[in-house]
Amino acid sequence: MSEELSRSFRFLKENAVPAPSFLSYEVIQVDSRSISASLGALIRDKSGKTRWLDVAARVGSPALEADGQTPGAALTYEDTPAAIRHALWLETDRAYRAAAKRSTRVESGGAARVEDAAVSRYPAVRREIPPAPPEFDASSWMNTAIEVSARFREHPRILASRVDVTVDNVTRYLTNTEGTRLIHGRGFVGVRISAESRASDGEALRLAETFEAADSDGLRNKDELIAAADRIAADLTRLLDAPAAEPFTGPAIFSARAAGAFFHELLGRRLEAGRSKTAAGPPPFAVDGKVLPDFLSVAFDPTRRQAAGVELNGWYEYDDEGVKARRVVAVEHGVVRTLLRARSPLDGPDGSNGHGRKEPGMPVAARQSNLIVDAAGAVPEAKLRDMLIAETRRQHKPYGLFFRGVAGDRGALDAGIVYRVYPDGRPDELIRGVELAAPPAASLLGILAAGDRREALNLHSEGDSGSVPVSVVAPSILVSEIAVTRRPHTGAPPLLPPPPLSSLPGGRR
Amino acid sequence: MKRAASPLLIAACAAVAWTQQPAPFDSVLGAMRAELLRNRDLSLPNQPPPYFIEYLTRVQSSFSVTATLGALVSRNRDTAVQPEIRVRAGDYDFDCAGESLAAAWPVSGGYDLLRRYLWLSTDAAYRSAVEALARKRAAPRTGAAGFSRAAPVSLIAPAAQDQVDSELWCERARGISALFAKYPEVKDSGVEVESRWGSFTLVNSEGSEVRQPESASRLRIFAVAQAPDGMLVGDEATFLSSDIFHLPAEAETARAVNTVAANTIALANAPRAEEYSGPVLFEGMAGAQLFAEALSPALAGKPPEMQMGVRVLPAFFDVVDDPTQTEWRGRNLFGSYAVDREGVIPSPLRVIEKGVLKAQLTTRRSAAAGAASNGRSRLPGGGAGVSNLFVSASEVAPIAQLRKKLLALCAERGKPYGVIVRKMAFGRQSAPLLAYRIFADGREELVRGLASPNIDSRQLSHIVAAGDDPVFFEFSSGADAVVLAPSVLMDAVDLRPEQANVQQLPALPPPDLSKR
Repeated sequence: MSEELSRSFRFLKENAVPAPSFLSYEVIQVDSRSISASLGALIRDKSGKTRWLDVAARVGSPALEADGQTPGAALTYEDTPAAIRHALWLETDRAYRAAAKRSTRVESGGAARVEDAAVSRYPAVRREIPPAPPEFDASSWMNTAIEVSARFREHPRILASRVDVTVDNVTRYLTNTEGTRLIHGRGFVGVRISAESRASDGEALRLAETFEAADSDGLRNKDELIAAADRIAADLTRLLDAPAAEPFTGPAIFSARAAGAFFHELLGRRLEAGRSKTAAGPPPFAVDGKVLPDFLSVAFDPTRRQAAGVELNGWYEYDDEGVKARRVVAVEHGVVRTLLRARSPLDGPDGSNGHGRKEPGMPVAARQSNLIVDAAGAVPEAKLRDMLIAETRRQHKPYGLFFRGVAGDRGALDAGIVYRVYPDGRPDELIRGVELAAPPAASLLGILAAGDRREALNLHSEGDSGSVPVSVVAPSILVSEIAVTRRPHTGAPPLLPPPPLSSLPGGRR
Repeated sequence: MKRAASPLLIAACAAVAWTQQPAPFDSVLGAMRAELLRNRDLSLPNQPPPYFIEYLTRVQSSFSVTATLGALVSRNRDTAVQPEIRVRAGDYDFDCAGESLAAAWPVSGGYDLLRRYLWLSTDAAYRSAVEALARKRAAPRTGAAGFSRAAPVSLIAPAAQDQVDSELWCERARGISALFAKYPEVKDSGVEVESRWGSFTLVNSEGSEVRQPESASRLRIFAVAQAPDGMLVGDEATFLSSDIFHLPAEAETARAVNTVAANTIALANAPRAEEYSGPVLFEGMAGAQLFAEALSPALAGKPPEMQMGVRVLPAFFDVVDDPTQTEWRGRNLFGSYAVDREGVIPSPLRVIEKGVLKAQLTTRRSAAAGAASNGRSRLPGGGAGVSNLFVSASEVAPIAQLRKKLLALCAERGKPYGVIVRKMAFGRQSAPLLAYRIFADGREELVRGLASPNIDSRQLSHIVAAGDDPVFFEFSSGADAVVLAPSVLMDAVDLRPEQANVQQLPALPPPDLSKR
């Protein structure tokens, strides 16, 4: 890779107009295995190995520079020099030509880059430590998946369910013309338990829980997974009989996990600098803008590996541009101090703060890592509930809401288990079909208090540069006003009862 | 009338092993039988139960490998299960169907899962059939065909078994692809090998029970080069056969690499094609490709429709579709089958006689009112497709004479040259890959960059002569099929240069691939 990089760079520098100022190759290799089971039977066992090549090129002077990134190419996963050299050649040429094409636009009065520092402000990194593959006992995990999934056999009202176990070992090879040579990476191990059913009016209800870690030691043990399956089954069965939500605006508590999704969506996304105009959602916050109440501060810390007993998804040592990961205080006492930045697509005057991330085959963008919320003056959970009831009374509402969990794990704000909390002492009432009516960012300023117990939520965040693993560590919060509606639904419950399950364990006959 | 089944179920039914030892109990057939029996009682308030239910489940394993310049780029082995559920409400003469066609889900150990899937999908399909029937009753279209009757069949055969030695084929793919390293003018190249095997199982409420083996293997070799003006050009060789043992051996693939590379390089150095309107000779494989592309969909009823009893080819042509033949002069036929996907046993069918359309390929759904299906339901989703299509001509001439005739036609019309097409890129946009100008003195010149002439069944009447050289062309567009047809000369074809796929020439010279 390095040989081809220097050959290309030297040749283009001497012969091509405009001359390139920077070339970078990143190869991301993913070794994966996935195992799935449903109703006590193994339904999937698949392993794969892929390598993806992304080339980035820049042409022009640092003051007036254009970049080109290729959309990526599948690369052989075998170490065959001829095939790799050939692919590097084609992709380098593609990236260089894309940059050259953009540079003519930049020169002819397009958006000029503002840059005063030389490229050398990113010191060359030399570190070649391939990650050890996560220890993973496949046959033991197969048995676990089968056993956990069999729990749903006891729940005839659940229409579909499954347990997925995935292991990805990600190795990143990065080399660039600034002298960086980096081999690094990490493992991702995850278990996802999901189930779905239909209420009597036909509404589809889905619940899922995901556990993730860097290796299987960090995952929950079998008994805890079985408990999670039982919890999902019980919650889903109770949801089937729960009354449907109605349109409501009023105060609400988000549990620490639900608050994690809330912060990720409403706050984190808007702290990513340089989001493209095509990206969904509002633009990034302005620096120095007040976005949270005074008692809340937010840092992104990709160097942190664990929090609240959970291994964090958003941990990495170097980002996808070879910039060392570092802690970034983004919001201090409610005021935005800085945004998350990358070298691409536009390397601003302040440079990258180590958050250039991407899915293989996507261009780099500034993305979240581990979002960590700090609350001054946090209150005990019981006190938070008392405050919700007081706020409900103050607003003359019949009830407040308690968002206990998030339905999915995909990062979207998807209300899962929601209760009505009555001020008159009636027991809390579970409701189904709650849909958050796109809470405006102003609801961030409407956070009244935070609980004293933080939880960590691992997510896979979708964005400009594809899906990247992130985490949120947040306390539960009380919000003065949240608007919900009844989720629209179609469909009907099945006419016939479910088929009887086969008698032998494992579903085989 | 598709209704999505539960996304989770579909996903649940997403990888592995019915590849274990065949158990005495067929869990697929067992689950289908059990749910068929239960779902006969399906009924909405004030609605009759369905009069027909059909479950069709394909269990298909596959192996694929792709390689470039001696290195594997991807390699997969998987097993997928794909159930199709059809429920019909009303009666044979006036009805509506609800269907649930799942994306393939890789799955194993799935007796319980398949039953659940069939249960929920049958429910959804029945509801949509009932709704569709109510709409149809409210606004009946005249002539809307029902569903043709068919006698139940019972035909249980073993599934096709795994015959692929993965390591061997990975090594072969590496070896074949590495041969391109000696052609620096080739910009991109590769080899794809794919093999699939398994079965389809059908049960219906009329009592049919069918399980039939299915298998096919494919080897494709391709190369791309860049002309001096930046146009990307390429050639390819594709081999198809029912089993992997009949794919070409090493000597033949090596020859194919050399031919593909030589053609690709020749194309890069060839002049650009110009617009041409005049006689064209579709020679060798291109003749069979022409019939595969223009005639086979029309025989299955796809537009532009051909009218029964009307001349669609010159009077010296006869066409027979014969799925029952398995071999022709020692060559295995790629389109053979014993029973179609609706459980109808096919017979040979003379579809075109003396150029006149005599019969079309039908299914139980497409057969005319009162008529029976002729057993051609072959495509995913149940559509009709050709099998082994024999195109024969009673007046034939040697290829040299066809060339002479081509030149004579050109002279007659004052054309400076005629065009011979020898290979097309078969598919939806079947552009000529190898097209030549032929001049009055017999000299030939390769040209590049022709767009697909988009020939459909209407233009087939422009055929003026056929060769004495029938050639096989195997293809797999939905269903495995083969056309045996001669070269043909058409007196009027419009050929246009394509919107050229032009890229800038590389700024960087290629690396030296011999270096380690």
